[in-house]
Amino acid sequence: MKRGDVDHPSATAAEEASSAKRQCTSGLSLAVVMEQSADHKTKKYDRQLRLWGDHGQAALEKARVCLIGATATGTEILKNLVLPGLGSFCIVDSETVKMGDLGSNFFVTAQDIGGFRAEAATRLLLEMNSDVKGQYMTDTLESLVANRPSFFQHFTIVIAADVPSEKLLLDLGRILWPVGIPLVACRAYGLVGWIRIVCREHFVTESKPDNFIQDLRLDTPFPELVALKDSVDFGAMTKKAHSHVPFVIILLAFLEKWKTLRGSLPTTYQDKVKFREFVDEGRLKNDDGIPLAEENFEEACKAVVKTVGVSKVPDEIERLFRDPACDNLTIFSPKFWIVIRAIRDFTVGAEGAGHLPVSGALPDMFSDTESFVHLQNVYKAKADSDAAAVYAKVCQLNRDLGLSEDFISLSEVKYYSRNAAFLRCVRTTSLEEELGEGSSVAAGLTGFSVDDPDFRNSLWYVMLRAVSHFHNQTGVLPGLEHKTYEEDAVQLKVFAQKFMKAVGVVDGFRELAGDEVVARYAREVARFGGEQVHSVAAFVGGTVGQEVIKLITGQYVPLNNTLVYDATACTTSTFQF
Amino acid sequence: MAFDPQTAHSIATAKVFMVGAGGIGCELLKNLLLTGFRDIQLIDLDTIEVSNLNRQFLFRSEHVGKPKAEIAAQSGLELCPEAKITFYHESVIQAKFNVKFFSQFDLVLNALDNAAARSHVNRMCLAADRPLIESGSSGYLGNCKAIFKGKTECFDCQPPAPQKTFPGCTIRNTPSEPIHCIVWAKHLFNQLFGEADPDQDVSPNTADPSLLVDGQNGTGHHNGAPHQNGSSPTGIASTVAISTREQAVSCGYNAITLFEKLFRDDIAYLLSMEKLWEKRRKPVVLDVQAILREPQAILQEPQPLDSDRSNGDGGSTAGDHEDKRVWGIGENARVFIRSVRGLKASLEKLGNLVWDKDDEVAMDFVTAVANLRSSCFGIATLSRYDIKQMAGNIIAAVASTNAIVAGFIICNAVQVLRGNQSGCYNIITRMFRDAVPATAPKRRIRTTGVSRLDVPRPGCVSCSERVEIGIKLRIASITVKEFEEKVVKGYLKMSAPDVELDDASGKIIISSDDAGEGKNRDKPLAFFGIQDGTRLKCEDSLLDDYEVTVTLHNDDHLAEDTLFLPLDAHVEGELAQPTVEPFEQAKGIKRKLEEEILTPGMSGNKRVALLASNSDAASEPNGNGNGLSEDVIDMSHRF
Ligand SMILES: [Zn+2]
Repeated sequence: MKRGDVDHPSATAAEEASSAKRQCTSGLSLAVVMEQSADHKTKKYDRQLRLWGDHGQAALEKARVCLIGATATGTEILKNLVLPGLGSFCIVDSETVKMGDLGSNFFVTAQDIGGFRAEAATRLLLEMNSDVKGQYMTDTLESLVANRPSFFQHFTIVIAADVPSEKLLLDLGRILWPVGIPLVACRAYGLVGWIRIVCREHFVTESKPDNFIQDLRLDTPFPELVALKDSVDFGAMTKKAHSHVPFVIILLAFLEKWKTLRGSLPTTYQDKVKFREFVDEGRLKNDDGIPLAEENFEEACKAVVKTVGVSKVPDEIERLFRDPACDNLTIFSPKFWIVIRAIRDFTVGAEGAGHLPVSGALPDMFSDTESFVHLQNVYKAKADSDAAAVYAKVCQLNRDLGLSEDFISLSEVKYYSRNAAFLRCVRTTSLEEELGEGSSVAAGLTGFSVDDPDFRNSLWYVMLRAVSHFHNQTGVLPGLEHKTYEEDAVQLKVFAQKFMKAVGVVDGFRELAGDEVVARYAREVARFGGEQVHSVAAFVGGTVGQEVIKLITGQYVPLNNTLVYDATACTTSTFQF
Repeated sequence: MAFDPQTAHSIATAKVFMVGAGGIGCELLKNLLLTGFRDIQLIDLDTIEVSNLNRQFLFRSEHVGKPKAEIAAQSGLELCPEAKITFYHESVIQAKFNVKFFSQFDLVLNALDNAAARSHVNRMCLAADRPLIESGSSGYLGNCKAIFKGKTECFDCQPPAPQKTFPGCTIRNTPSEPIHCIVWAKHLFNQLFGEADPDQDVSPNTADPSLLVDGQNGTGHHNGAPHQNGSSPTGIASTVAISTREQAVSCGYNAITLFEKLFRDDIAYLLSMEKLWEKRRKPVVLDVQAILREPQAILQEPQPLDSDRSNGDGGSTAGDHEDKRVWGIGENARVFIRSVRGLKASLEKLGNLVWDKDDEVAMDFVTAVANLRSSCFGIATLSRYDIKQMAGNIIAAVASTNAIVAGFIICNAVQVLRGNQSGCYNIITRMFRDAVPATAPKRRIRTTGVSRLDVPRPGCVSCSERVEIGIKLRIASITVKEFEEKVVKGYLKMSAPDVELDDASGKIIISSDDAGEGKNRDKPLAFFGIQDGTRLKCEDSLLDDYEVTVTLHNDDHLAEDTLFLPLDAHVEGELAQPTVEPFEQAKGIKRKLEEEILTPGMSGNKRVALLASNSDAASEPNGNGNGLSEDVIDMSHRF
């Protein structure tokens, strides 16, 4: 497979893999029947469109996901992607359906016993949503990795569910890492869940942070904003007009007065409190000198601490500006870095004068419609002209790099420019770094106390690694046979201890994870006997579903990089390995 | 084996009642069956809608219109033919689902989407002494907790986030925000095509307190009396009280006539109440002929607002589909005319209509009416998409969150069956968020907040042994109807209340037999001789032994928009915060997380209880870790 094929893979993937793969009939016929009307889709997807928007949905509908392992975990994940309208999926699974699958996997039936698990799962998953296309392959992961590594390059994302072999995962990781395709590995093992995200470089365009402070440029207003503020004369207003001036204008006007009186803007918290009082005194008074209740002034006072003196480039964006990828653009640079570079040039240059492009968004505020629309138009016009300035720089960069000038469209640049404060780049460690020689794991296993749920979850992680080593050595999962349960538990404990030694866990961790503790965990894990508990698979399926949607849509920051779930205590912990 | 044989046996023989077969319900039924539950009864009132299909995976497009309960049961049996699944396609709030009915179950599981039913099932479980697991989801947030009578906090122990309501005068006379016009539009729909509710009058209100002398609070606006239409300046309205419905019938639902009444005559009438406009911007009347003649002619049409105003979770980029475009005034007028005609035809064919956000014509009508009214009052007009969200109280929902929540329900359910109450938790889940500051790259973040179940709140109207409460209200003006709807049903959460004087007379004030049809419902409490200090006995006829004694305290100085105030309740500034229903519970989540820690192993005898206060989460004010309440606040801004 040539590198260039990656962009149009769904068709080629089907052709190339025809030897081992059957096109699932229901998916095909439904696809032929016709796409449902856009209106129908809007209705069907209404509740999620309100969460991730049309552009998020469009990204989801374009995405191609490869699922390795049609286990309970794997099919639960796909369920959560097929329902909202994923573009297409391909299941890789060489197993046949066994009795044990019926007890935990919703996407196989008794009639499927003996048949390929991938076939049953594909058929039943496609029944849920006729917008989605699906296919499957019954090759083993081992043979695909060894013989047809290019197969995996067709996908937007690859998910490996319940792959017991670390070596296989590592090989898969080595295929995907260089081409930049994210890998999500996960497992539901007894009462424990594990999720690992591997992405070399993932670009977030809408990080939607928890605490977002909107930069309204109050302390450094641009000329158009100054002009608008100057056009408002508080002294020459009716009572009604006075109580409808948007709070942004109020703050701008009072900041100017404050500066004239004091020589500088309020920056410290104490100053801001005083400034707030200063604004509050600006309310109109009745004939008895009692201030009127003016809602817009109340809003202005409330907004002081959060909106005054915050006009600076956020740290996260400063870090992007300093990133070598931003400096060293090449013809292979992703669009993201070219735009970041243009935004940086804008920000440090004359146009931005130290500020990111204006987003154009305004918070809701108390005002009459006319004033609000005026204000909004001023911000929007500035946002448009800033975006245009960034676009000019993008075009120049493209030319300099030898790319076509319209490699990045104006509407794309506008989108980035509007979201400039919310751009993020996430890089996780590779699987090589975690599973390979000289592992980075020990650094992630620090800073616990004994009664810390994170410590318990870190021990589950250690045990899952031990299970892999056990499987690697013996070819079976610990505790599978009831009669060898005790032996297996002892052996598992030894694997766990070997693992901790090999990765060189810190002394503190070794002390907490004493012989008795590890033995207890090993017995518990051996008792699982490799069984899949459906409710754990449901949890992992839901969480991986969310993470995959984040990776596909560029909305929210994905997990970096490991999550462990303990279904007994209902706790989760995240680790960076 | 993940479950020991004894646990597996309890699961296989447990009899469970599942209330709700929607988003969480579908996941839950699947999880129950695949965990080994074999005796399930489920109930759901709803039928399947297209907008359910993005997550309620037991249903397909061919099932649209069919009962959720039936199809879910059918799908469940396909998955697990040996299971016994009984379904009810009806409301759980009924006398037939009495305490005896609830008593037959080992466990009750709530997967509901509305507070009234949740609260009712909570009450029934308390009365039948059956454990209940309560759950909910909203967007990327979800929660789940177990409730044990008398031992842990019940559903009603945490006061619900108050519903956002608007004073009638704002709706009828002086709207200032789009939502006021949307509420008005929905009321108008009911007045014209549905079951008319006197509380939802849409005509100008002459009893507006703003019409009184400044600083003097009138109480008259609470009496809900139909407005005397007086003589409007245009001379069109008659001098007798005539309802909007009667006017519509008398003109044969002529859309132009209705337009002129609503957006010209009634507005002109409002303008004649000059007092209202002393401190407010005056509305303008619309001339329907002019609007229709010149499609682009704009009277006072605000410019379309960018739909992308917020940066919160709901902030999508400018939508590319039709629904997100803001209509011009001519378009609103035309849609109004078209939808009135359509609804008139449906009314004639089907009888009284019920407003439904998913009914195209009904939604068109509300969009057009809300926007036309906004145009009169100089309020921003909105797209159909945004109006639908506000009018329909739409809460975003995705499969993944429901899957996570349903996974947690099973965790709690298994612990309940094992008799391990301390192994049950109050669990909140949220998506992993951007929360790794560069300075602390190894910080650990949890996507679930787990806390021990709280003890019952003393004085909780639902789970306290003996309930005596005090309420402040205006005895002279609050009507029996208002008292029943807002206090007895709303606050005390009674489904079918009987209320009588707690004295020798035992005079009946409200009877469940009347089903809201009693004669004197529009009379104020004072009419029955009720005065400051009177005690009322309130009973729910659907529950045995459930009685609350309410002492009434007269207070004529309550805030203008406050109908009543519980004596023990403290009123916060956020009273008017919009509701995020499934997360009502989350607001009460303690920052201090006390965790019961189990040593690994499901066999209960090895349990070691360690109480750890999670200082990491507790000290973190910015919503990392388990600081979920931040998210809840975030969310509330979106609605
Ligand atoms: Zn309670």
